[in-house]
Amino acid sequence: MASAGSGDEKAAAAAMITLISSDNEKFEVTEATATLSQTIRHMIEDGCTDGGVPLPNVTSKILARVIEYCKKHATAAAGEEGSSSSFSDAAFLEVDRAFLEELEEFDDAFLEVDRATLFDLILAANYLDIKGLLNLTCQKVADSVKGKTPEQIREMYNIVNDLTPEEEAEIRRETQWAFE
Amino acid sequence: MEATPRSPPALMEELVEEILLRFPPSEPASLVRAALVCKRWACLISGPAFRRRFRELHRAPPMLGLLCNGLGDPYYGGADWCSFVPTAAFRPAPQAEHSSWRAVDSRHGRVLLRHREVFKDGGLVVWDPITDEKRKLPILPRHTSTWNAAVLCSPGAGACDHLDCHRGPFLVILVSSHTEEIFIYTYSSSADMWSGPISTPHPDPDGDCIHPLMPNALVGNALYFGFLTKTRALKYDLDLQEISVIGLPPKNSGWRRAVLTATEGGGRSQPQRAVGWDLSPYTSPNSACGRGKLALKWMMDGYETEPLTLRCCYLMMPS
Repeated sequence: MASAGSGDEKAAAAAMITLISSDNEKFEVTEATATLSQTIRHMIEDGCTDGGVPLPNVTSKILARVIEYCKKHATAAAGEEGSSSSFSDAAFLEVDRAFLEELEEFDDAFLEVDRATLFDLILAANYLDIKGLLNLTCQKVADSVKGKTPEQIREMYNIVNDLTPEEEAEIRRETQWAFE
Repeated sequence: MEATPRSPPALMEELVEEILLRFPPSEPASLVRAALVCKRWACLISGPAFRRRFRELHRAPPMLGLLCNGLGDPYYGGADWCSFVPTAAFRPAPQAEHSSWRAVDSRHGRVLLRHREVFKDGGLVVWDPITDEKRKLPILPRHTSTWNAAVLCSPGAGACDHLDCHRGPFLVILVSSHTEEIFIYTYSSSADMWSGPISTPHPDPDGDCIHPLMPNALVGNALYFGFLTKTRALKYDLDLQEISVIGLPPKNSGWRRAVLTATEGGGRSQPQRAVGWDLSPYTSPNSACGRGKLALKWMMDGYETEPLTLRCCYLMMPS
């Protein structure tokens, strides 16, 4: 393993970034992984990553999950770039499809978390500006409320109903077809 | 330290919006139900900014249904009718079955309806099936039996991306065929009055006139209305406010129904729209609702692109 990947590892080792969670845990990641976050990308561009990047809004538990996502997606992105020049079209499409399927399976498994963790991931994806992760997690929440009544949605996501009975009646009256 | 199960943390408004934006556009009912969760969700969903972003994200709005016209036979005391046939969960208000009314045109989320006594006050109405709001148009400026009309959003097709024009101002373009001339009148919802006319000499006063039932087509910023003989179309340029008459290929006598339609062709990323000459066999109003669309197309090149915009579209017009 060391000999096969030594070239890549050297290049990666030259560009490692330390991320520091809110509970002061340190995570060493490659620059390719870290720069899936636009927030961190800007910090690298501004040269303010020496001594580690403090992320006071993200706990170690959530940061570990976010890094897991970024690692997988950074590898997939690198794989796609590398393969496009060295495969014939058909072979490339085959590899491409396999990559996408694997990535989809990874995403599905990645989203198997409780609702509180899912919301934590949304907050982290927003703070770190990771478009793919924000899309994935928000879509998961949107899908989870499909076919649910307003009462069920409130219960699921701990939301207090502050609509007055009159306001509620007005919405129902205007959109009667949605409740049949 | 960690209690299980933990309550989900509160999300900032922009993140709630990100979630709501990803509700399936094909199921508008789910978004409506979500509006009843709390005030914040209700305000977000009903706001114009959200509507615009929702359409930007999902692009082509889903088709909600078809409009079917029935022509009543006056000899048997039958009245015209227009009914909305849903193709998705959306249903218009129950009273929206329009007896004595017929749909003339439908575009940009609005339907132009005519009463059988169209030349009386309130004989022409623009109906919003989503909100069930109706706008009565002032009495028509000129009486003629051979007329047709189009409804469209006010900035016009070329100047609008149709992402949030649905509740905004609109225009109705009326084309009226007379002995010597063809007139065009424009109704603007902002001014609530008809303006015009603009006119052009009639190309064939003895043998032809504007087809009163053939749906019109909007291509770029020009409207096309068919003639009764189906051999020519009237082009009205909305920007230049100019009328011209163009020739069409000879009709196929085996077909009884003709529709002038804007059709898609060209690249997937940027659909080219062109005028098509669409001939399809006549079917009874009931079976007509479910049938396919184009039977024969004659394409004209060189027209501008136009985004897909109709929310409740595709007018059925048995001739």
